[in-house]
Amino acid sequence: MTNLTWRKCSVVVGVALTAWAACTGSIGSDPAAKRKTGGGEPDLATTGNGTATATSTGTGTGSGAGGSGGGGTGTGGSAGTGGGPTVVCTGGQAATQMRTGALPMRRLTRTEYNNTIRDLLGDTADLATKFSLDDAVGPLLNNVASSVNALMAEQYRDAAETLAARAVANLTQLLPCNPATAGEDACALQFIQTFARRAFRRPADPAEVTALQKLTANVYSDIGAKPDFATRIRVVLSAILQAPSFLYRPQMGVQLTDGSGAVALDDYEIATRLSYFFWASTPDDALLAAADAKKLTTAPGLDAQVTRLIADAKFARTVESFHTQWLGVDELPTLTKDTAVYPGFGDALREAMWTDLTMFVDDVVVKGDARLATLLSASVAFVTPATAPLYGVPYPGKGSEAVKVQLPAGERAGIITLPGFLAVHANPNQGSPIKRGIAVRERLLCQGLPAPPADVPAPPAPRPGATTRERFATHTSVAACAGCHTLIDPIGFGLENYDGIGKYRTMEEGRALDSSGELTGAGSASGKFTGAVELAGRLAASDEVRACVTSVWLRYALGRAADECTLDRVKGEFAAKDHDVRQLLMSVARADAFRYGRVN
Amino acid sequence: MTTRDNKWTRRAVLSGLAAGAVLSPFVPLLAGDAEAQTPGLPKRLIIFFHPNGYGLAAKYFPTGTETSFTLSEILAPLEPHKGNLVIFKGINNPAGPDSGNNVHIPHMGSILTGIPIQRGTSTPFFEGDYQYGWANGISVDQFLAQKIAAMAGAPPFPSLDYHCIGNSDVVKTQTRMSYTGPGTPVVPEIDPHAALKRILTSGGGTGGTGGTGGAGGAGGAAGTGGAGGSGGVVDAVARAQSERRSALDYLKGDLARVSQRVGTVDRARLDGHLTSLRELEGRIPPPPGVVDAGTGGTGGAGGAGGAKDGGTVGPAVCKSVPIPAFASLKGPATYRDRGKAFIDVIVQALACDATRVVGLQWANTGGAGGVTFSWLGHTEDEHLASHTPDQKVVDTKIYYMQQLAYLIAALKNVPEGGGTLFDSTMILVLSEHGLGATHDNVSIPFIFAGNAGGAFKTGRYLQYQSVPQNQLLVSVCRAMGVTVDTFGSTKYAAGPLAGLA
Repeated sequence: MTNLTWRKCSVVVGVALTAWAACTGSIGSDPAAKRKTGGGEPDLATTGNGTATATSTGTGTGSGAGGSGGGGTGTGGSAGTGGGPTVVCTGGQAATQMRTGALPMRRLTRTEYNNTIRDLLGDTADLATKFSLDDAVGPLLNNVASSVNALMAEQYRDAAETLAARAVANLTQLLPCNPATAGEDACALQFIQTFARRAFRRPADPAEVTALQKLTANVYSDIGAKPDFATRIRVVLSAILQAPSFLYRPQMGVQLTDGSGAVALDDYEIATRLSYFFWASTPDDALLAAADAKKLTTAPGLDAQVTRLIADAKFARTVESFHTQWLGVDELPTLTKDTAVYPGFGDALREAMWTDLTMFVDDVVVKGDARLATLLSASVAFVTPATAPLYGVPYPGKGSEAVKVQLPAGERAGIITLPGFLAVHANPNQGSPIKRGIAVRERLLCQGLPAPPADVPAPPAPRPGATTRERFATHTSVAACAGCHTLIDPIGFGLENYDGIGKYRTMEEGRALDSSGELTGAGSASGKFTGAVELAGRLAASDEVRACVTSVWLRYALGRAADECTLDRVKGEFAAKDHDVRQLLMSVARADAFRYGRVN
Repeated sequence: MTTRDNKWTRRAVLSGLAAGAVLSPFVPLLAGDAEAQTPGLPKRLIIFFHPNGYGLAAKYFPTGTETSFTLSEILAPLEPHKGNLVIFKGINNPAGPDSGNNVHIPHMGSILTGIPIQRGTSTPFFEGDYQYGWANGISVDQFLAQKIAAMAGAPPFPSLDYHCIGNSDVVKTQTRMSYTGPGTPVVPEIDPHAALKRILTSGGGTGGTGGTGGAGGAGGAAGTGGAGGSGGVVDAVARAQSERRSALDYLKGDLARVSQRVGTVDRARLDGHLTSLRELEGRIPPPPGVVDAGTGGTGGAGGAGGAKDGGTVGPAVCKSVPIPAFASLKGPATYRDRGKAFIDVIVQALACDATRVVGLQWANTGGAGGVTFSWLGHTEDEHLASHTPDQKVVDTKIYYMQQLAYLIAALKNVPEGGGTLFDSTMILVLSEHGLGATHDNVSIPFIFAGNAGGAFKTGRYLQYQSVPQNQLLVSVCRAMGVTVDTFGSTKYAAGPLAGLA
């Protein structure tokens, strides 16, 4: 019956999404209703201990905390409206599900590579910016699909050679020892051990050390030349930066003996997951030291690091990286507009929009109260001379620095009214209620829409006297279109107060602009509204949006979609913390799915 | 190892004869070369992809008969090369709609593979698109590249894959035409400067091919100049190559170690990585001592070749080509210059036998990245233009045919054997749709330009009735000297196109 289910595939695939006619104009019921929900314990110490099987793993993670959540009686379950398989998120079944998700091996994204090099070598050249593009899974980049082809292998090689040459220019700083006193071979070995540990995010094993020693001992042996010491270090450094243990994040774990087929990630694998999740970069010395001491497989040890990581300045990297991907604005730097319509649109404005957007999410999630409601309501901007006109405010600063400005009441409401978001989700020569409606539906509600039919015409061109709403009227007057467009356009019309580059307006074609719309498929938050502020308010109150944000953050952390029970549990914890996104991330890091999995 | 040695032995021979070998080790294959797999000149394939279909039928398809026809407005730029073309009508892509809807993603992922794309819950795309995944098989260009790479005397690059949309690109099925297998898209080069540098310095990075000069010197230097006087330089190059050989030895071992520990899915990805490292290794010459000891006769051959280069044989080496600096690798401002630069690099790469398979993908299907033809006064990108059947979409198609004409002319400008480089080349021209305005899969605008050394007759307009492109892909393989009976899903068709030869 429902053709659009917000997230999971098992119930709908093959049934609903094969044809445009599949849209019925209504969104399915709350997916949570399809499951019986367990109690969902908020703390690591009890997560997963609601079952008898959890404590049998012997990995030490919160074991023995007494199973206080045990057999949580379903609280959410008005059972089985969807007719799909019912997932019971209690007991051993839940524990197994949460611990046996896939562990896809991720290759560093370009951003992660740049950050990692900055933190390993202090080199800020950001060479990966010129690498081939990253694979996307859903809205997120995570490089779990493609193999490294020769072109990419050359890019890695060239970058590694350049970085190594630059690093050995300051050999004293690079080395942990003095070759003159320690002896060259001994010092080379020390470098290998210390640097490989940081680059591989774990101590190099004996076979690796031996291979690296052989490499550094045999430089130029095939041409009968003798390398100086710096050359030996340079060659081994370059090789480490091309090694699979550096470029990829393999997760092998330790097999559990409970028969579930699950593995528990070891301390170093958890350290790596933590640092790339919270910092989009490599673990620092303190995190590796915690792994050395096997603290990350204990609840207090993990908590201590999570608290430290999220308080570190590097957390801002993840917040920027996540939000630019999730909101689809990672395309902003290359966005083009019709300059006949938007004459001011160019690099300066693109850059200013990016700054505004990234500073906004940073202001809320890193520096502010981090609440989802704030992300969807804050009426502030980080304006520059380029963006001030879009907001209709004077630029209060000097020069071109972005300055935080409180905006006029009633005009803006958080991420969905940021010019960067509005400009990306628009046409080159006009706004787009369609693209914006789809962006909200897919990215904020995680509700998929089928692809449009084959013969969809171009959007009606702007014409004098006709408002956007009038031009798109056929969408809802023609039955073949209406099925889906009644799910899209009424949201997008609510964002009509912003033109194709996000400039605020109240008039269109000489008439007062009508920004009334309707949010559907958002549970109790569904309903009619006028303007973006009311729309954002409904979204902020929507359980569907909260579930969506939870699922996308889990995807970001895991490199895959989370299982239903993990989603349920983390979503419950998010709710218990007033939908504080920083708390959400901490819940994610404590979830079983973050620390266990199954090797495919 | 044997592959690598074979490649290098042959390339050492060739490099010795190359005046200017410091810049490039590549020279064309010589007829009668003992190591060539097949006698005569090698066959070359270029995939020439333009997005969003043919434009308008009335302005695309020729009028007339198979051998007596008039080119349309869109195809008019090809008039000087009309006798070298086979223009097709009625070849469909049934795997497209079988992948789901008749839209961009399934068409793009099936057009060169002939098999429906991956679908279902295990595919990687966002919930909103989750019914779609990557292509589910190898594309014809990569299939042929792999076959050629397995031949003795294969060139250093199995294929060169270029994408002109630049970095205004996202990685998804709409943006990838070539695949090495199910779920494994080929990552293309987007920077013409990097593409040029790659073919000029395939072995040793900056100046890396200078080591080649040293090896040639043993064979008498053949007047290459610089071999004698450049001892210091050659030394640095030899060192750089030695470093890369050592690093690759280590990395291969390391990949094998990691590979043993990961699951099967990830192991396959690491295996692909390992294959790539072997490809890189194959492009580095072994140390000079090895050449001297192992292939003493090689040096002599090099000397002889050098003489030829100085005199009679046509295009000798991969020459550099002038490429303007690009303020940006994106957008319409540099699109035309980047496209021309890629074509210039392609011609050089084929001339010096750096590769025999090239993919040139102009832009992406659909809204995933198309160019606004602003120099023609367009304000909407080519995808949006394709939705409306008017002159704008025709203009975009004419532009691509002009570029095709430029490519053909450039290939004809390179002497080879008794003729030109174009004689041994075939260009497979295509789009992912038939009529862009409806995104259909009917009458994909396939064109063969050139016949890969006489594999079929040209100067023809072949009209079929709903023939699956699988048969056309079989014909491409056979024209390239690789005999297959099917390509892609046999559900649609087997065998080659009837009536092509």
